[in-house]
Amino acid sequence: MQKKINPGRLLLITFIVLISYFFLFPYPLGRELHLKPVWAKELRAGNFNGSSENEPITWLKMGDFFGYFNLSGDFYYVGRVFFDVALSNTGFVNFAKITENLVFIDNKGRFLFSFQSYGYPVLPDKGEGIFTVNTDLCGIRELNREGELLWQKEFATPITALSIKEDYLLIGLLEGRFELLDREGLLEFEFIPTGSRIETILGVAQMQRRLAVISGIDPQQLSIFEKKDQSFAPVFSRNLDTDFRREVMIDFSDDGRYLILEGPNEVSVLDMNNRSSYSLPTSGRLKNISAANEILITLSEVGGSTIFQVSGLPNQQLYSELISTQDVFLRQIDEHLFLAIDGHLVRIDVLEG
Amino acid sequence: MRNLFIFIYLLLSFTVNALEWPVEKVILTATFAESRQDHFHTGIDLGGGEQTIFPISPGEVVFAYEKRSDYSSLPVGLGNFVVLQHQESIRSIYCHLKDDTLKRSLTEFSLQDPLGTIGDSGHSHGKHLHLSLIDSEMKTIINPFLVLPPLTDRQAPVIRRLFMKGEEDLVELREGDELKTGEVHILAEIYDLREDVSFIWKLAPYKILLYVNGKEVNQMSFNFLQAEDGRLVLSDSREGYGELYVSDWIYKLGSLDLTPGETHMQVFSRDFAGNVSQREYFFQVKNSN
Repeated sequence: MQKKINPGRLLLITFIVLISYFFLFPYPLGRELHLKPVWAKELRAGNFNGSSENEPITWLKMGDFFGYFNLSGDFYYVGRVFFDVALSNTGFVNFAKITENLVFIDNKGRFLFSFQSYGYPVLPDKGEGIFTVNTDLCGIRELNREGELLWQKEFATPITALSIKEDYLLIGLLEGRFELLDREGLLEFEFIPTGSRIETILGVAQMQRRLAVISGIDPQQLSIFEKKDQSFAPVFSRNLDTDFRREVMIDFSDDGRYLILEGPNEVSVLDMNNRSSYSLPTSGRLKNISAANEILITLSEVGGSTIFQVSGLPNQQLYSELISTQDVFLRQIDEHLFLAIDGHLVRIDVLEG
Repeated sequence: MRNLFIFIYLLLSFTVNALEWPVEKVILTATFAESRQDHFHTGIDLGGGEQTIFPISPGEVVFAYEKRSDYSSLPVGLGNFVVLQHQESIRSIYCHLKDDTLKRSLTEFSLQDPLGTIGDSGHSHGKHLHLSLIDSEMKTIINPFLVLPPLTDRQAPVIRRLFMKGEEDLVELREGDELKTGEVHILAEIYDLREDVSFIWKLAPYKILLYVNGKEVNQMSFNFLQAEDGRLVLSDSREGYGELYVSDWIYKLGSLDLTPGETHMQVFSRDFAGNVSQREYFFQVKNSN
């Protein structure tokens, strides 16, 4: 006997299926974002008493100035760069052209410790590590706060690209190989991308269990590796239509969803979920990229000016502004943008809705 | 064997196009594998003020960096620099170029195309060109003297002092000394000298040899550096920086078990032009007790 379907029931099932479909496969409707200036502060060298102790402190660097501030715009320390400065959220090493003794100062301008080093310092943004890179780029070492050597690694070729995250160092080498070292300096993974007429490494990025590398000349290649079953393996490779002969900007967005890489007059965005590729046109020479909270900010230099561009990821162009100076600092923390321009630090919030 | 192979390979690589010095007026201010406080000097330094730099051989740009315009994920002690790819897998690196002189419009350079001007960008005590040669396939850093035209040099290296280091004390060795039995480390202060200046400007020698009672105990040649177990070592003797240098011009020549009787020790040092200096010591070794 054939059972008769109730039309009301059929309508309800259809409705549920449709609703489920939209939840499972949402259609990208675009985002309504707007920029809201919050404050602007003048930058001048000195020690300041930032008042909000509970707010996270972060750093800025613009031209000869560097310093620390919080989200409310309270400065803790602003100083002038000697030759260069290594900055992390907890402190800095302001160093001279010829180094021997380096001094670590905390983010409020207080001396913490000094250590001997003939290399130039690198401080990862997060964590307490202190690294130095040999001045000939043929070695890297990690020191403790007493200046004692924890480990070192030397190479018969200069380092061309470096990414230090909490647990790993990803090191690109001129000879065309890259190494992933753990925090003991031990080799976790190495790879030599092949298939180009000239092999070299031009850019590296890492995020959790993922590595991205730009390598080679003719053709230039993007390769992505993922850690599966305790070891890394290539999962994606693509030839690029670029011909860079210098280090290339490449980084993951803060959530790891997108890979952002520099292209000629564009920024390429690769969605790691489905490997879809997008392109956001830019003008001039790319100076800075930052991707957090599904927002991509780029600074590019044209003549003596800077183009400040805000996009929603993956490819929604939202805002573009020409700034008549090439010395611009950009830092993005979640939905907050910090721009240092002409001796001032400005906070702009990217709001949705 | 490996070194011989590398050397033959280098010779073959550069047979077609002979290499040229990268500057017109060659003033050598530092040599290959000198001590740099805590690591080897990985090239040679050439002074002579703001000279125009040319490629040592026709080549193609692999990598370049200028502090004023290029992004870098790490601090660059090499200053403004450019890397050229030559025949096979040989790459030459020209460092510390003067700001805004690096020629970026070309990717292929002939011998006559200027690369830039000598400067003091990056980790530099004064205007000079740091020139490095690497073999990206053999994974070695090459002493540029091996492949560049020879320089005139008539002065032999100086073997200034020898030291013996026992368990506790460090003593300077003198002719006719009486020493006690036991293991000692032989240290030597050795350097070559620039001929073009009237003051003392030290350079590293090319070879150091230690003989004891007519037998070769150790030989160090500054031909190639290669990475081994995460450190750079001289490819002949497999010695890393810490195993070779006590300080800038004091070398560890090896250890010796002194036995009773007369000992004859000879130290030879050679520069790249073939000038050799020698120092020898005769000393008596007596039982410790």
